[in-house]
Amino acid sequence: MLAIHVYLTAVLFLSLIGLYSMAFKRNMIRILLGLEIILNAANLSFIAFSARFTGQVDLLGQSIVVMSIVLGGCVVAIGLSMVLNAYKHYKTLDVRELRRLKW
Amino acid sequence: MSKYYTAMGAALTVFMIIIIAYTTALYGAIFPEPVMSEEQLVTTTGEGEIIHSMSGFLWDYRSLDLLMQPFVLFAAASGCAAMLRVIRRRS
Amino acid sequence: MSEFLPYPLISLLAGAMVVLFAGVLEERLGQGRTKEALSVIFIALALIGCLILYKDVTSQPLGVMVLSIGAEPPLGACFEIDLLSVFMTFSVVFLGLFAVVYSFRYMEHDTRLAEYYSLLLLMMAGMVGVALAGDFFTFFIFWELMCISSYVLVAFRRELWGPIEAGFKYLTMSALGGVLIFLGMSLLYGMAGNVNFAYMSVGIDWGTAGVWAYLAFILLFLGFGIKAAIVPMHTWLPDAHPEAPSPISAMLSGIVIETGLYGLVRILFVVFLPNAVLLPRGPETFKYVVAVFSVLTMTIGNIMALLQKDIKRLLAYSSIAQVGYMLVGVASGTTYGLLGCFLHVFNHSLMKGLAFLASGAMVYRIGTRNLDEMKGLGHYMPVTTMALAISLLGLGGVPSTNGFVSKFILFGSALAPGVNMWWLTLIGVLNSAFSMAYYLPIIIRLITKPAEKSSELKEAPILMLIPMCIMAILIIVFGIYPRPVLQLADSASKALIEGLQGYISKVIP
Repeated sequence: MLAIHVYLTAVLFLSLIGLYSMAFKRNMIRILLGLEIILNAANLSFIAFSARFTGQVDLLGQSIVVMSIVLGGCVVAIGLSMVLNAYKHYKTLDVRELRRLKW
Repeated sequence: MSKYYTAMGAALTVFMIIIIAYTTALYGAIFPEPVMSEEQLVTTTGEGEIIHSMSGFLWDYRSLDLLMQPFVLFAAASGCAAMLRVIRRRS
Repeated sequence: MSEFLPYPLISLLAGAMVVLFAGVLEERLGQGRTKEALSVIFIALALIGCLILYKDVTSQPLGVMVLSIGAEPPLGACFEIDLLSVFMTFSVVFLGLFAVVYSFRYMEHDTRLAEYYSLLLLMMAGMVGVALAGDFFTFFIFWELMCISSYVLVAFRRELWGPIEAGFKYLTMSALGGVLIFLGMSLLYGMAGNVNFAYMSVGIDWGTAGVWAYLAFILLFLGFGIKAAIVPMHTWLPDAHPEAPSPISAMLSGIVIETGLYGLVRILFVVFLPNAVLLPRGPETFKYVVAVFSVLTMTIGNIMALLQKDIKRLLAYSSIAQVGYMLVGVASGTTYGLLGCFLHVFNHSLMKGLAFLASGAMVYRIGTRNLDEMKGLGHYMPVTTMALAISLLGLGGVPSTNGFVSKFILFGSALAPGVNMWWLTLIGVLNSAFSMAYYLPIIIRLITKPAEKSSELKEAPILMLIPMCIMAILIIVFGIYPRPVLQLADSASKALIEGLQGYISKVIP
């Protein structure tokens, strides 16, 4: 178990990767994957804080992670069903084509 | 021209990563220590005992969240059904 | 008194299941309106449950009721219900009742109505749970329930491209807000060891936590700000509100973004502000950050609303501006400011809800949202136009509407002796006066003489008119006699600031 700031730096990098994927990628599915990456970064943060003291484990953090994985899965399910519908209308997965709503 | 911008962007990102890592190592080593109660902290035994204490903890202390999660799943399933169902109109 | 779950929540959750079941049965049979009737019955039961909840909470010794299943807080998941929670629950269920009655006629030609009513009830259950939660993770589960239901409801009319595009943008931004809240929650958990609100208020060592506390605050502010449509995180709102069906627009604009504001207020006033003196430059930081964002939100919301030609998009930008006004009350940090903020939450839900319902009735009749084509519509739809005019005057803050009362309290709170933010009041009053510049042309355009006579335009159906008329009458009545709601909001804001010791002592004896 390393010092806590190593894990926090890893959380920061994962979040930055996820944010980059949400902001700059054109494929709609990659945007949803970026969302999942940020969620995994937050889960990693919870686990790192729960396993902080050597030889002991904090059960609250881990139970929160177990339940948060389910919530992340639900959000992505809805997102993918929306991507399916968008493909039916726009015939492409490019999010830059979704700019008919102006202003 | 765009290669120049890509190279500048990559250099800026690497520079920022180095700065963040340095400041995190300098300042982030200090993180406040929480005071946890006895029921939370469990000594790791290693063989698989942790699973039983974990599920016991979940059902004793977090039962409200566990009871509300099926409703979230229900909302997600119902929402996917609403978005993906094929409606055939009987004329 | 329910031992495990509060009555409004039981009623709404059970209602969602029953309504879906009834709706699926009706779809097999091909016809039937039982699901609508059942949804109204369950919302009425939730309203009665809210009154019982109010009586229960006020009969408790400290004005706080803690409900949990199984183990005790602070480690166990719990509902911690004080009067602020009861106030938000009442706002949610009240607006939901009007929206559901309105959607009987509005949505009757749509498909998949069983899922519509069930998801609407689940969205309301999620908002009620967010208001009642005492634990940050319980809050997050109900937050995700509310968000997931609202994503599907915005993109409900999936045959058109507009709702799908708006729904996807709304989903990405709002889900990003949710995970940012989750990240902030993880930092607070690491500092405190527990995710209970009351425990986090007293159990964090703020001296060593300087930078990390500010980082957690920034993450939580960004997350709640995306949901509450604080500029610059507001860009999903002008797309999502016009494309959603009108009753859903009314719910979204009226109470869902205010739930984001409630989360921000709860986390700010329970965890951060009581301990702000222990942080380096603490109190001024929180106050001025919220004040700067309030100015930004008000100004940009009002300016962008002036340029719109689509009535529902104009009302969506106006919602952004109204959230800016509510942030003035939060920035002041006093009981009086929070009174104005929550009174404006309730009043805005009535006024903006009525505005969206009335404009939805007009869209239902003429099929377009463009303002230029609504010229002279008032001659054919007089009651709807009157209701829309009352709601727009209320939004602008004209005296004798309830919007005036709450705006008066909000802008007056920034002038209080301990809070020297006269510039905030000045900008707020100027913005409020400026907002009439885009409300009045709508009314004028509706009541001018129409160009040619059109015989097929009639008044809105009676089931859509009844909730609109009741809301319009309430706007005027609460403007002239605001005492009931004022007392409720006053007790709610007092419960948050002065009742904090009682709130904490219920969990940590």
